[in-house]
Amino acid sequence: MAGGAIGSIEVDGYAPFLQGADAMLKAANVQPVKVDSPGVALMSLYVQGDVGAVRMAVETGVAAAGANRALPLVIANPGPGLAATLGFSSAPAAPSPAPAWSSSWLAIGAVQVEGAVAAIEATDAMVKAANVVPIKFQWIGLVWHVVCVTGEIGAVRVAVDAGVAAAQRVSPVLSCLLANPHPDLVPLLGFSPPAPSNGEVGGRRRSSLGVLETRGLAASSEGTDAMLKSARVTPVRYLRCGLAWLASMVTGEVGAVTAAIGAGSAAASRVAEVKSCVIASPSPALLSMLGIGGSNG
Amino acid sequence: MTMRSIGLVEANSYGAVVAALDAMLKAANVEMVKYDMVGGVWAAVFIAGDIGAVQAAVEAGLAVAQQLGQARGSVVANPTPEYLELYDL
Amino acid sequence: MDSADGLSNVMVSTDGNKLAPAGAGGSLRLRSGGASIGVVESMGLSPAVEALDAMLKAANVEVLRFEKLGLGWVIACIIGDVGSVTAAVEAGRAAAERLAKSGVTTAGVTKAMGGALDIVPVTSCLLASPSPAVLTLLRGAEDEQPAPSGGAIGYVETMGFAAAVQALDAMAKGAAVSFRGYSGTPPKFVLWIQGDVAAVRQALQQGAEVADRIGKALGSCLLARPHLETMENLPAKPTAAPLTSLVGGMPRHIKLLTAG
Repeated sequence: MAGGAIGSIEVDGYAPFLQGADAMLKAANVQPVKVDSPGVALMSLYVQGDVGAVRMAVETGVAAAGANRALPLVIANPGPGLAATLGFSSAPAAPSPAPAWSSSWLAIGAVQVEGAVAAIEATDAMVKAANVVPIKFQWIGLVWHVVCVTGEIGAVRVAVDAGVAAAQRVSPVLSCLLANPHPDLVPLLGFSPPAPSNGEVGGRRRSSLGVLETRGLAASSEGTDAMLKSARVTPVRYLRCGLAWLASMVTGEVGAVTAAIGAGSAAASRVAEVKSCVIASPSPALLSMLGIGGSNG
Repeated sequence: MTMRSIGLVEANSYGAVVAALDAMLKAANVEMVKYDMVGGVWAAVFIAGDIGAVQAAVEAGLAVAQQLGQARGSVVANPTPEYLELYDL
Repeated sequence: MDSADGLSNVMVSTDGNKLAPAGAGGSLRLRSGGASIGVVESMGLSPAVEALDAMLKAANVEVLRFEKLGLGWVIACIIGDVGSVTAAVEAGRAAAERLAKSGVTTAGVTKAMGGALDIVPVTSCLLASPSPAVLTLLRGAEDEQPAPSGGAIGYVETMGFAAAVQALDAMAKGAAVSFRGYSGTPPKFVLWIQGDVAAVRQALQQGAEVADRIGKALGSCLLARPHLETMENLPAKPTAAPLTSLVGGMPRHIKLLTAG
């Protein structure tokens, strides 16, 4: 069967991965099959096609992602049962079309950081800096979080710069900007449609957001208990975000949130490492990406 | 139920967490609530009971777990309802 | 090129993890007639895929499990007759090491963990005649093996899945214990066994020794008279579902609090 070669690049880091994957699909006539990750910041794009095309795509992808970060894989003649084991269908299927709500996209920007606090600060900075829409806020494994935004290229560029600036004070950052992402790539990346943003939290006017990120559940428990008892704040969300890192989020009046985060940090840091932040006026887009707001009380 | 105290022991090994649970159940009159996977290789177990029992149990559990790896514990004497909801206890 | 017809008896779960079916009558027999098992475990998907390809090409073996265990670890387990599996595991391990030695797959994790874990990117094991306990681990619990008498339980924790498999085999063969449960938080794996206190103690020692040879034994613990609630809450035995669906293997009130 012609076109049965399989290739992939496996890249350490979501931002370099996007650049590599985009370059792969643009370099040669290959059909993207899936994006997969074994659980840390290693992302792979699998393609199939003629062996020559696959080889070219993989080489270009590795070069675009950075040879020190990307692992090429080309299997010219996959062994019996390999394709089925990996979940490829034997006949090349038409790639699913990009979702309708993505028709107005031009560019995609991605920022990868370590830790929920860095991710939240970056997201808030990005959506406040320019007219962009967040489409991904995801913990991709171990300590890394990824935030992606979309919009016009100028806006995305400004947003990514702002996100990087906000995050790099607290964490290592990788970022990238895809000016014209390949249409076959987008449906594979699992972007969520921008939720209708609702500036109210619990029906009240926009509240502040406090995030207490602790290393370990014991510290989180002590910190959350102290927060809830020290001021009138409402816990809204709890994220597992890394190698034993957990983030509790609370909302309330800015004074209450600040006091609560202070008390929580003090209690939690007796047990383990702590990171925290208070966002006095979180943007609605940030809240909706975090799943806060709407009818939550 | 809202007057019960909550205790937890977390360790960097599931085996240690179960061994700690065993020690906690034997040390005092507490009830196991649930396990939780914290992330990476850390795991935890929550117990509930009277404050004295929970404190004794967490001490015993930590003693066992710390021999088997790294471990930490926490005792919350009077958890607010929001706390219980946040951690789904 | 694609032997679609030869795969009619293989299940594919929705996320691409692959499991071979239980044979009729509870024994695992394939077209090839063998029942030896080989496992190649690697950090990163590409080394595992390359290993699997090499194994499938090297000899007449079939895929038993190809699964992402989490945190970057992927296992490729194959089954076949002992000669084929031996050749395949050699080829698979070499292929995986070729890719893994560039360090791309381990660099990020090593840095994030601050060198806390000594990450060996590729490990493998080969069981010429695996005990039923190992088949349960890799293929899922079938008929309940009669549990030996004895209420003591114990666990062995290993660094590496291949080490866990080999340790379980040694424990099940070396003493009168039964395989009670499995928990996996890669790269650490915990295997629970049950039996008489003396049997469990002996088995734990053997298991730790064997694990040390392949990966690393991280510790073990014997609970001579476990509390009733502890017994009720031991991790479950694997089923045909992907190992990660056991969520670390813990039975009660599992709640994964995930982001996004």
